[in-house]
Amino acid sequence: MTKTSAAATLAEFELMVLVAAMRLDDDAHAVSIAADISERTGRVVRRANVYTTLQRLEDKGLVRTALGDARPERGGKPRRVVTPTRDGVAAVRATMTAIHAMTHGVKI
Amino acid sequence: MTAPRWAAALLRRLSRATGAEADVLIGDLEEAHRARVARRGDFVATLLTTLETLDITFMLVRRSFSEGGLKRRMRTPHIAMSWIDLKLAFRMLLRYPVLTLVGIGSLALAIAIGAAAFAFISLFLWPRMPLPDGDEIVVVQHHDRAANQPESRVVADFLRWRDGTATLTDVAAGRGMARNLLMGDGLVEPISVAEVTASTFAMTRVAPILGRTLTDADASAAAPPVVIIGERIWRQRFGADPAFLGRTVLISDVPTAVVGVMPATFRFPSIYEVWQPLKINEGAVQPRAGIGVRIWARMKPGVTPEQANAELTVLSAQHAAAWPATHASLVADVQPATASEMRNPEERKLLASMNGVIALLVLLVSGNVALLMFARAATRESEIVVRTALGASRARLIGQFMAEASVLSILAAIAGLAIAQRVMHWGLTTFVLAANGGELLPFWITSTLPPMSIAYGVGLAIAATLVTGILPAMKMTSGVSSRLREATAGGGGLRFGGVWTVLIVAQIAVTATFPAIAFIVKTAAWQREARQIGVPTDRYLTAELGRGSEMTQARFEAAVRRVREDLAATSGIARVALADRLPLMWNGFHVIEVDTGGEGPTDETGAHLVNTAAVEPDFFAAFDATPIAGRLLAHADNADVARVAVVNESFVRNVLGGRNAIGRRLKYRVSSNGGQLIPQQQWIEIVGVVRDLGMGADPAASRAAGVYLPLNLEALSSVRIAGLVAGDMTAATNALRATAAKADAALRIGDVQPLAAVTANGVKIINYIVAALGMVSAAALVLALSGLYAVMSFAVSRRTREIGIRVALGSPRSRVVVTILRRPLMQLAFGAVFGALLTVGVSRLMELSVGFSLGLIAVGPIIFAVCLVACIVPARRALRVDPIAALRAE
Repeated sequence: MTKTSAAATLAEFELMVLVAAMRLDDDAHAVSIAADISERTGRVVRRANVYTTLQRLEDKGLVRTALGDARPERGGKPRRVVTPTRDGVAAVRATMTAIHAMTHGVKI
Repeated sequence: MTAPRWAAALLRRLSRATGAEADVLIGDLEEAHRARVARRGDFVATLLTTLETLDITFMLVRRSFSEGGLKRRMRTPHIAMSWIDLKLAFRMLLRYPVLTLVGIGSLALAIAIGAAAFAFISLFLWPRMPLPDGDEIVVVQHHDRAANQPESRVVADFLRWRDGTATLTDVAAGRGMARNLLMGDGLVEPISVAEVTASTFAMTRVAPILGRTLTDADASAAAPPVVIIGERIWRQRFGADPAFLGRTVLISDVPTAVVGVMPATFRFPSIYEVWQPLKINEGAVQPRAGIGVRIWARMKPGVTPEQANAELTVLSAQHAAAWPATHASLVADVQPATASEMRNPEERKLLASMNGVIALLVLLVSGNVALLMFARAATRESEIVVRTALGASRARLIGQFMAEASVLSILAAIAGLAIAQRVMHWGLTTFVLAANGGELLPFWITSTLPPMSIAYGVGLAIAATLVTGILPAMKMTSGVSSRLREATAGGGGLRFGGVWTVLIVAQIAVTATFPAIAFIVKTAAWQREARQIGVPTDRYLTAELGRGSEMTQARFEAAVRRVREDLAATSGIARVALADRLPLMWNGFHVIEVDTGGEGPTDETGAHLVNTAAVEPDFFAAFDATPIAGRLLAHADNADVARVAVVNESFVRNVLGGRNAIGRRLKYRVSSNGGQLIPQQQWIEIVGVVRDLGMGADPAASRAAGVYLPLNLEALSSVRIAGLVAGDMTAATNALRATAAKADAALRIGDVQPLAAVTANGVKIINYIVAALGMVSAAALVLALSGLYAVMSFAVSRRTREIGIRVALGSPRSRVVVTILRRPLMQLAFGAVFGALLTVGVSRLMELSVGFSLGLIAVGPIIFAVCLVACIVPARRALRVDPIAALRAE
């Protein structure tokens, strides 16, 4: 596992997943993250991609995951709740700053 | 509706060692699936969840590869397929649009037939209750071990258990009743009413769409009568009026208030659309006495049927101790509430084996598509040879073919599953009409494609990919090096081998069989339509009068006689008659023997098969039949036990070989085959002969022998009435319904229709089958012909050089043509022979009596003509080529 510095920037989908996890807070897990991105951006989100991205973010130390409670609407199965780490939040900030810096003054 | 079980099983197997990850994945799958069901319905949700599961499966497999698990085990993948291959495959398919459409169309059709048939079969073999957590719902059945028969008088047992047991909760009881529903318009409709306890609705966990469900208070003796109706009745009979709650309808003459409407998908316990409270007088309940009921319950979460049975064994023992006189030999156990009607293991095996037959059809179709792919791929032989020369491995080449086959199969699977959904709907409608006499099917048999059959369809698509990809790939890439040498030396090239010949022959055989069978079935429909019984069948109004469950036999008899008299007195209706079966109806075959042995064909025990109807004396006059010999039945013949009979002309011809019938005696070997009970093993004297009156549903002369016995109303629970209508048929229909309602409100009346409709219904069903066969035939024909054309054109074009040499050496053109056509004509001949044998076999299996030759002759010329065109067009092209140019071209 390699730890990335807080200044590391994120790929587009990684950024979306991290931001969705920040917004959803205690409710952040693969299904709700996929639904959130899909609802806000209108794009079709494959849950397999969310799993792969979450795995990568966890390997980079940008999110932490833990098993949640078993729930009836999930057939009595638990969730894996996603929490962004301090490094994760810093990475979001760094990426957003980079995007602002790049787009500043450009007519889009 | 939960996520497909196979999907959960697959994810559990593929996810990494810890159980926690599997649980999370399965939980996510379940959560996402439920959200989709709520948004887009069962079918779309199942389809999307299936695709998503496959996507996640690939992700898990890729992860295993990258972590080195699988990679170590499989050092070299046998087939190398990449995204570029898929892109290339798309382009190749677009370059040959007709070929692609034929390929996708035929695979889609095969997958559709496979998935729909699988769904149809599994619905009957492994039904599931479509209620929230429906698998937990069970039937509690009592069985008398000493008498070896089921016991339904179990109200006392129900009262003891109704508050639940350690393993069961929401215990409910109920029974089915036949009642008449009478509304403001004066028309009576027979309905099936489920009398159930209030707990039934709690157990099923289904809420009403309007009003309320039943309560315990409704079941008290003093409570006013209430009823809950189904959405279909509410919409069709009451125009979906929301202000309709509280209105009063007459149910078997009792004014009853409607208090709720249940959704159309709810017909618990099986086919019911009207629910009333089951009123139990608890003070008067005795063990194993009173009315018969069924008991249902919900197993508590996590309880298995085995645990519930173990508890019921203990409780049964307690009941046996409490009520030794009645419960000593009574045991209870739980069964799934959707127990399959089909319990005979032989029948189940036969039905399940149908899947195998259908899978074979898919394989045959795949083989044909493989043939097309091969024919097309053959045009790329030089490309493959060059790629090999440049260092492409066989795995890479096979990967390219597999990519094309995958794209074809994926598109075919999507189209096929959509068609399967339509086929299911059509299939069930046909089944209801054809095999279930128009009766509704249990509500768990729905036309939504179940998840298992979607998975089955995907499985078929994968099998199709393997056949359509691997077969041509192996053939194209085998011996490429030697072909490279031969090609550079100016000879050789690809040839069709034995496998392809077998495939072509099989294709022709099957192609010839389908239209032949369709033709035979259609002939049966024509025969039925053309059937004349000497009276205008469209002028006879008929109906079935049935005994209501609260009627005594005497009351039923009196009501039937009153309807008969009132109808005869109605203006515009004449010649009213009663019978257990009317002309043109299915009579059921009976086995009889004749006193001194008949002259006609018999089975090995000397028995004859005849139709039987029980009729009253006026029946013959009503259908214009006078005695040809002897006399007709008289009122004096109406004894408890039939002693005399009238037979028809076919009986004299088929059974007696044309000899005199009067005074001869016959004896039934079996007492009943539906309809009135017949005295068994007792001699009955033939007193008269009448002309054929359309006995039985089958128009074949060999099956028209019939016997008329005196009608005995005391032994029947339903009887048919027929009357000749002189005036308006609609007015007569209304008069008949009103007469029945006036005679006795409890009398059930059904199947009110002209006699001609009996035949029309039969013809409609046959036409359904012909339409299905026609569609399959047309598809098979297009498919086979395109396959043959492609293959033969290819085979001929491969021989351009040979033809050039032959022409150059002075061979007559006719001989060249014969040489080219020899092989395809042989294949055609073999195919026709096998097709004929197959047609005979299939028509024997389906018990079709019409000869096969006409159908086959109709199909033969078409196939022959296309085969000729397929060969002659390329042959002419080859003959026109200048021999020098042909030689130079190679």
